[in-house]
Amino acid sequence: MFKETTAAAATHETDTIIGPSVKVEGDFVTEGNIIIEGTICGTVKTSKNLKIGPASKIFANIWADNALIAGEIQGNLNIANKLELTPTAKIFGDIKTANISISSGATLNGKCQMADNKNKAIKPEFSKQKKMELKSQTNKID
Amino acid sequence: MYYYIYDNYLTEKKYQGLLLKIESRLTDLGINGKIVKMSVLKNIGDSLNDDITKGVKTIVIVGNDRTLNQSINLIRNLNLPIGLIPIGPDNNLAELLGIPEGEAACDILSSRNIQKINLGLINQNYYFLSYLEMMGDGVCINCDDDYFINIDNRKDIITISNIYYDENKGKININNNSGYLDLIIKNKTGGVFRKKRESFSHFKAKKISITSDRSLPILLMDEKKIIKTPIQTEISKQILNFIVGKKRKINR
Repeated sequence: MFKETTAAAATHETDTIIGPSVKVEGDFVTEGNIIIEGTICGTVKTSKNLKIGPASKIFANIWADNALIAGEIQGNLNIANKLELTPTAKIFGDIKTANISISSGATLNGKCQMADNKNKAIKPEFSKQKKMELKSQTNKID
Repeated sequence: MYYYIYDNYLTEKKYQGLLLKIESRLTDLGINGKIVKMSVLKNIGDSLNDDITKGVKTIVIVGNDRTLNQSINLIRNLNLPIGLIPIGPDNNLAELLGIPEGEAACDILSSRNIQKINLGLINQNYYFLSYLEMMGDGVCINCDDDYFINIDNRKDIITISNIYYDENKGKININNNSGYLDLIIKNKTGGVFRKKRESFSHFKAKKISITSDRSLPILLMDEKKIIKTPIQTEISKQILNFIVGKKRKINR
């Protein structure tokens, strides 16, 4: 009973629902929340949340703010904030996200990149010094 | 001057008492005017055009959803406020506009709270206010020229709505008068021995085209009129000024 009420609330806030009987082809761009239970080929872009149901099949590159995935995706995922993969999720593609949660049983075939290249650790300077020392040592030996 | 268009069914005896009460209330409020009764033989368009030159400033439809929808293509170009006095059954649009049935509607009319409402346009020539419905059998729907939706299930019911008042509305997030057309695809599965399941798809678009392998009938709920595929629907630039009540369920 509790589950039913939360699901109803979720659908009420959703602008787009793609049901199980529907096949969509093309560039699907929206600024609202999306729930996908059917099949999509092309691209999916939203500035809000995306929920992909367990029976859905997506052959598309995806851009979203947050995503909860329970179905199969063949394509790359670009998620700005949080990506959640449930046990039934199957992903064949690369992932870019800031925050990820993968449940046991989920399948992920592809690269996973988190955070930007700018935030990666800077090489410490001592390695350079070591090289200089090594060079000077080798010169002395010669 | 107020111009009242009465539907044909109001000539029935059971409505005479209510009509008398409404007319006396309108006289009390000082908003009585010319009354024209719809009939098969009468062309309201001609008589309305004559009276516009005589100073008609508000048009009031007296009847139900069907009366209002039949009048839409007549009155859309006049740029006048449109009032509604709902009488009898099938008054879903009046409920959305926050107008109570019968005598109480006269007070809403006199308060003159006006709201702009977009119209839908079919094939660049026919305007509609509410929605159209068809069965989804080998249908391809193009939304805003961005994406296609393919439907092959005969049991699917496709609805394109400008203003939607179906009983299933509560299950889907539809903002009537949002400047978009709502495309709803209802699917029912199951049968005698299997559990019945109902699923919905919902899209928003400004332009929706429907094509099919063979010509399929589409029911225009406004007038219970049937048109055939292929069709192109869009949100028109034409806006109607409706007199609405405080309890309206339509976006500003």
